[in-house]
Amino acid sequence: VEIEVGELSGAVPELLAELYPLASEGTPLEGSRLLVRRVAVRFECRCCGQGFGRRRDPGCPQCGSTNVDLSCGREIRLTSIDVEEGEGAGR
Amino acid sequence: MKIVVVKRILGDNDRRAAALRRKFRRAGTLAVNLISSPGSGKTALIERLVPELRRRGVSVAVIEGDVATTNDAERVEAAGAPAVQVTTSGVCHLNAAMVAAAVRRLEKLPQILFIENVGNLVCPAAFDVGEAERLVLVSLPEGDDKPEKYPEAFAGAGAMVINKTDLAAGCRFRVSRAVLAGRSVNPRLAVFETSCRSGGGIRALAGWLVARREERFGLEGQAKTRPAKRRRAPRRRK
Repeated sequence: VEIEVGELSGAVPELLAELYPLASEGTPLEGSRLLVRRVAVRFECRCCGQGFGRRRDPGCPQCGSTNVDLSCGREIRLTSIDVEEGEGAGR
Repeated sequence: MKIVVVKRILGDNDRRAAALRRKFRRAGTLAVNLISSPGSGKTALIERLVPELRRRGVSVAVIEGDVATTNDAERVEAAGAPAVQVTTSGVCHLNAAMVAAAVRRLEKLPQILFIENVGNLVCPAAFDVGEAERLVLVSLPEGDDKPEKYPEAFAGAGAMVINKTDLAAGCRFRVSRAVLAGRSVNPRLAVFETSCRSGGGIRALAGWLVARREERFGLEGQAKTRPAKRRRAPRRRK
């Protein structure tokens, strides 16, 4: 089970990994492995469209505008599930 | 076999929050989620903002989130706004379901609804409660590195309120440091400096809130009294 965890989401990948076996116990996911992909903070400038990461000086490195959106870094998303063939055949 | 899913976790809370947001929009309510550490002055700030907003003809109500007691709701009601207390009995944040239940207990939706979250800069940052604006408070005695330590809280905020400016002499709080750190995760973050003791900065913050509401809903319902409808004079025939 692969999930994405944004740097600013508030979720802690280490804790998720630690608690996952407990949470999945007794569910169809028991025994499965959790893969956590961290997602770094990215901004996108509303003025010039430039994408950039977190930096010390706030604002767009290309045009200096502070009118920017956080494009990723706050998400907690399930991205994919990897299943061995034949495993779910009984369903 | 790899199955690609892409589904938001916390999707249940997000769905409830989206429903609340639609409800607020229909009612012309600007919902403001107030978050900070315990003791930064969230309730004191509301106590100051309520009379200032009412003076401007804006109706206000408050949802008070606390782990225990109804102290804050009593304080806010004394300041002149209807309040609903949510006691979380141990939970460290409000979620959309708790806020939806509290909203049902409000007699009517106001023009500005403050949702005072549980005092905590960690978990409240992760739970959308249907707000239109998030305000994060830091107070001078807490230190100027709060935005560096708790970037999640500032990432989605509309404004940072630096409170207790009356204590500046005793605190080594560098406003520039806090602002720089806050804006490094949120370049559009607005900043206000307030003192609930002296009332300094409260008018500017109230003005900003009113402007945010007008941005969303226009000026409708803003005036204290509706201008009387003018009757059109009957046309005289020649």
